[in-house]
Amino acid sequence: MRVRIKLLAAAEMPPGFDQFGEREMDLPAGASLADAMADISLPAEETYTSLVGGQAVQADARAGHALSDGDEVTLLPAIQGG
Amino acid sequence: MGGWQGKVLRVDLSAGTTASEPLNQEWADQYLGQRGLASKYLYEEMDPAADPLSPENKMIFATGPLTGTMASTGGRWSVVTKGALTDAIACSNSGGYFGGELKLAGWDMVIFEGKSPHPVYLMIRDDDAQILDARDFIWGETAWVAEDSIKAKHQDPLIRIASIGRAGEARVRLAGGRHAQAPAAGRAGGGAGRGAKNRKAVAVRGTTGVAVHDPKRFMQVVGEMRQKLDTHAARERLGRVGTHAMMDNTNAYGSLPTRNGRDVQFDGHDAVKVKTAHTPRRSDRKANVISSKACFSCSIGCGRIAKIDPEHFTVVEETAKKRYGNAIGGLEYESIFALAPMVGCSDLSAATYVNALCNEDGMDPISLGGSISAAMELFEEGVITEKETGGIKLNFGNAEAMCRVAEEAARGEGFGAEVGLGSKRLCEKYGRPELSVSVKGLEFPGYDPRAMQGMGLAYATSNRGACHMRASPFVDDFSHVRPDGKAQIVKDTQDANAGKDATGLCAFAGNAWDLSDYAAQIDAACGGGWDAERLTQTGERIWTLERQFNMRAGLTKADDTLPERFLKEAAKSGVAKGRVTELDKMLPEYYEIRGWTADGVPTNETLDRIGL
Repeated sequence: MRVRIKLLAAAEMPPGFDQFGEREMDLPAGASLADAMADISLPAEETYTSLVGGQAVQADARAGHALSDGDEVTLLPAIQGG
Repeated sequence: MGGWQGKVLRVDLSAGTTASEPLNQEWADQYLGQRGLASKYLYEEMDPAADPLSPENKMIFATGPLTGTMASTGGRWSVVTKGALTDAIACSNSGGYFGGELKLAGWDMVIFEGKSPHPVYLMIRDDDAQILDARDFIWGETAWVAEDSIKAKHQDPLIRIASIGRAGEARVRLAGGRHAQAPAAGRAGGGAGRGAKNRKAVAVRGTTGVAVHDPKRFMQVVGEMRQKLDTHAARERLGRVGTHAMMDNTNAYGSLPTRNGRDVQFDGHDAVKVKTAHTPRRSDRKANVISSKACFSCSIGCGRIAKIDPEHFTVVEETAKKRYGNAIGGLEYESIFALAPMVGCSDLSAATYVNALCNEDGMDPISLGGSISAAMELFEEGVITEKETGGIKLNFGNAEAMCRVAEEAARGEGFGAEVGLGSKRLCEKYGRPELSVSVKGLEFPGYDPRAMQGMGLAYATSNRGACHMRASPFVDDFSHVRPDGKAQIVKDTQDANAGKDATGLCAFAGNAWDLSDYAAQIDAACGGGWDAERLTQTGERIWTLERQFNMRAGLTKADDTLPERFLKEAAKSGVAKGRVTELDKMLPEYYEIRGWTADGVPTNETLDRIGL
């Protein structure tokens, strides 16, 4: 299956992402959100929020959240404003 | 004594005198500096019930023990007073270079009291402090002109200046202070307070240094902290894309207050998002953001320098503002939120222009945007018409109308003078107080509390009104939208942030540092056994003292609330679609965790425990 990943508020895009922070990702059927995120190089010291289809999936639920073909995953770092 | 200069400058504007007095070291040990120490002085020295625009109100410029040192981000200072916008204790934490210069001139704090019989400015050169006449000089000028004029008159380009613009002179209640052309001590109406004292500016030149308790350990600790900060991903992000990047998050999550809080996601987001601000435009092949800038001793550099599109309506005509087409202070998240989604405008250059007006004439862009958005809703509801606005069609999304009202507000003229009252007074005047998106009279920052429940509790309980810097529930709020556990997070981070706000260091370093990192630098500078636990206790003491000030000013549990919209109107979209802020569940738990009564009053046991 193929899902689209959107990475928000990034200073620099990880490998595989275009300049708009987007990336298509091919995954085996039944892959979870955790599987998809494992393939993305994110700064280890930061906490990321994950949305699937605009709905939040908490960190401890990612492994159990199966993705579907065409899903849009949004990842945002939990930063503070100013 | 390390970290402190040991001196306070007291300025009696009524008598026209200045005097040096020793710092109260016992209070400094209990409250640290900046927000903490200045709040203690304010609490002990003035009647909290005094009119904030009267001579009885005091205003304190306060540094922290690390201000002016080589510690990373060690340029922070605070303005503490009773807020003209809020009628509550007001602390504005600021950066730039003024605070470091004040400390290097040998002063921990400056206390202003009374009211000058005519406009003046204060000139400090190390030990020497003089009150000088501002008439026929800088009174009536913008903050930018005042800065340039003072430097020219005193023939020293290295003088650092904190000034008000014309808005503060006109007692516009949402006026703030400005320095170095952009950084602000901006929230809660401190600019109006300075104008009411007839005090236009404070200029300072310092040539001393700051002694520390253990120089060798201090050098080692601040070096380690610098390394920890500089290699952190958040520093990289703040330096490259600034705080503006937050709008990507809030819009995606559904926590971006839009059209005065009617909506939580902005359909015009693409035109004003951070990527757009960094993308070259068609007209001159330049981006809105042309550079970044940093405060004293800071390696983050989250500030922006911007350039308005040369074909934009705000700068094409031969007006006094045509110079805004040059490099000017750029947008931060809070200013772009308030001057774009909140007013429904998808015009990056218009927001940049109004932000520059705020910089030059000394206004808080969050409160200005929040007050214009309230006026727009009043207009769309038919409560006010073009008769009241002076012919301005003040619909959501009308960028030209926003710019015109902002220009009027900057001078305290026309309908802009009513907007300058702030949204609370504006909406009360027209019989629709529920349309003011504010707490204690202070307009919301850019986080909708229906999707960010912890931030809702933080707004409601903040001692200075709706503020995004008083607590830090961000990580948990961006994780789930339930009210569970928020009370403890808000209480803990309120105390931690109050402690940080007393150090002289920046809260943004907290992305990389934990509280023990702040404390280690204080301990090396000051001695006395500072650790994370003591800094937290100090923060709780500061928080509770501010609460007591407000209670003596007449505030009660009834002021710990949110606008009706957020308690009754469900979010229309985003992760919190269908939800309201569940303040009724969080607030009682918060009071209990704080050791306060059900009416929000600290118990005697709590006061004893924290040494009040």
